[in-house]
Amino acid sequence: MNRKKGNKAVRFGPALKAVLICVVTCGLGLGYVWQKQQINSLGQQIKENEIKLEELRRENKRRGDNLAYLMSPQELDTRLRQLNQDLMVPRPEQIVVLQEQREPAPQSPMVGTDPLRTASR
Amino acid sequence: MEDNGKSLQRSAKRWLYCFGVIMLLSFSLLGYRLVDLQVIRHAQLSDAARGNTVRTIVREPRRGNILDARGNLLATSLFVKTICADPGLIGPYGPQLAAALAPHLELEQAWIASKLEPKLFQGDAGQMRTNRYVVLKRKVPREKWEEISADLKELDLGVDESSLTRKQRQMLTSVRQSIFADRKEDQLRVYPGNRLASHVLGFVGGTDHDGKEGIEAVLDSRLTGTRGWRVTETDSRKREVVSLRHQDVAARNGLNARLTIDLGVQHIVEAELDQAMEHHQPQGVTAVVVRPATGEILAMANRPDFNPNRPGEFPAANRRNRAVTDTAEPGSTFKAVTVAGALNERLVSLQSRFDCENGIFYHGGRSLRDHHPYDRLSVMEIITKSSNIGSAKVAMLLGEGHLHHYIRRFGFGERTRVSLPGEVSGTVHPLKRWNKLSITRVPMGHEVATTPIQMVMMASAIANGGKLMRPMLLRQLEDETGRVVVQYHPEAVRQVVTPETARRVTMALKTVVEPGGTARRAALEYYSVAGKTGTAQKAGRGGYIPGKYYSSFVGFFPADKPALCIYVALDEPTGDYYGGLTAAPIFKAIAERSASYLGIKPDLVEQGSMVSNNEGP
Repeated sequence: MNRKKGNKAVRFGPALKAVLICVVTCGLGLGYVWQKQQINSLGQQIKENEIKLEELRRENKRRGDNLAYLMSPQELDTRLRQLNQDLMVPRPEQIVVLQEQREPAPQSPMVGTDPLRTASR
Repeated sequence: MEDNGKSLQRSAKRWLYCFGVIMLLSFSLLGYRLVDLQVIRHAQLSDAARGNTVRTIVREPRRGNILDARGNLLATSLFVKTICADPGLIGPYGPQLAAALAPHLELEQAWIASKLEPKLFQGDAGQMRTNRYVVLKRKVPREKWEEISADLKELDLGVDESSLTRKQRQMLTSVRQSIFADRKEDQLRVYPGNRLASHVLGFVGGTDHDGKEGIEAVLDSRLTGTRGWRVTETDSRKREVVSLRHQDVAARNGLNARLTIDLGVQHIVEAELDQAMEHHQPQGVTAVVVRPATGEILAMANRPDFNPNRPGEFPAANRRNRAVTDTAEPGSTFKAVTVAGALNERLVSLQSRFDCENGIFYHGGRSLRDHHPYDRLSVMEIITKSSNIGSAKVAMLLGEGHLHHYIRRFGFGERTRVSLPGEVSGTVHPLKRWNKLSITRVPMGHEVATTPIQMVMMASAIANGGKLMRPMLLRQLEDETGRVVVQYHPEAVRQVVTPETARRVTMALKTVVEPGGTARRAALEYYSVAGKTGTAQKAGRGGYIPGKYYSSFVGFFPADKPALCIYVALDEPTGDYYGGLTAAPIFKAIAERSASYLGIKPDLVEQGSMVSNNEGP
């Protein structure tokens, strides 16, 4: 009777295993596809960022070159002449050279004078 | 019944056999095809397959910048595009495309339209092919190309596109895409200062942008950089699949070269040379500004010159850097060498007096004349008055051997090794080729040929306590982040004369710009100047050419603590031709402006009376 019953009964173990194998296989497959898709989209992002970086570098260089040109002596000279502001390099007699005098070295405290007063916090 | 069943079985078996045979044959054919594809033609097909997807992209390095001593940009490179067209895709829309492109490319519309016409060619094997690649314009800035491609996308081809089929719309898209930029990026060398320092910088040329002249040629390998590459795969729409990159080696951009040239001083020098060209109308004019202590060249300029952005538009003669390639008899500026040699050998002092024969001296069967007749002159006065007879007599006392020795010691007759191409060594004849007259002619700068760079280095040696320096044009090489890769240092060539001799020669040279000297117009208001004029008749075939002179002035200031040494030479000035009248005022103008620009402390003016003594209010 038991044997008969056992023959006809649904065996959950193997079915579960089969389902599990299917799920794992599908999961691995989907995971692989998802991973590939992620790699591709990251690749695209890398490419976009590379292009953006290159553009920024180019723009930086363009602006740097432009700045260098605007600061060049011949450009400044031309602009000064255009603006006609009578700006010129100062003549030597117009230049005042400030010579910093060295402070005399502090005298060592002498015996018998007031003790050196210090303050501290 | 039984027979029927057996015949059915036989028939089924037969069909089965047939089916089996067919299947076997099919699989055999498939197997053969498989072996054919995978084994026999494997190499060929795999290459073809790789060719469809694998791309090798060459990554071009950017040519390094050239900067002046303060970091101002002298030359830089930009990546630019080559605009091309595929006439095979254009069909009847050539005129519309030409009209759209002409204003952008600044070309004739008719010329573009003719380039866009499809043409048939017969190949070597007799096959017919169309022109699929036509270059419309090279060196188009990237920004310009972006404008063009944006305009092309919106271009009205005169067709109502909404009524077209998908295929017809695709065709119109391909018409717009028939104008494209070449994938390989080209470079455009830009010199923002245009003509400024053109002879120093040189220019680039050719398809590989090789340096052709100047610093561009000398530092070509350092400025060029190293190519990189990327081996990658693309998808069906020719987009890169980044995850399938096989190799990715970045290009290494060229090094930036920082020169000793100061753009401010260079600008001053060139402005003064332009004025000199206008005023004296010479064949050419050259000026070199050097820091005597280090040999650094702050400015070097010649007229006529050229624009390195468009070198082909100027004659080859304009591209010659006369400061290093041209020689001339220096004339009286050379007397400083003679006197320095005699003083160094302690044969004379500045006060030693020589009979100047009242202006005419016969030696070797020929006469030697002074510009003014002089009776007896001291060595110092010989320099002040620039007496030919006096300098000849000093040289005769010195002797041919010693004179030749000092000429060579000052660097004449050999290249200065300045970092510029085409430098010549000048002419100093060996002693055995000297004739009876040489000892009277060489001391005043005849029978020798020197370059401007040699002359300025000679004067710098006197200014520098007798130490001859190698002219220095390169300060350092930097990578693109500013890190110094190579640092160049001042290089002393030799001690030519003792510091004491140099000091005495300087004392004599200081009198040249004083009243009674030949170069009063070189005197500066706030600085003491030591210098020497030179006026040499130009030599040609069969002797000296009447009316053609080479006028020069070389000097340094402040005389006792020299900051700058300046050489100015005019080739065949019209009108006035004396060095003291032509070159000396140019020296003065350059010196005054450069001194203000560089903040050189005056030595002839009492400085402002305000002295900070750190006292509080």
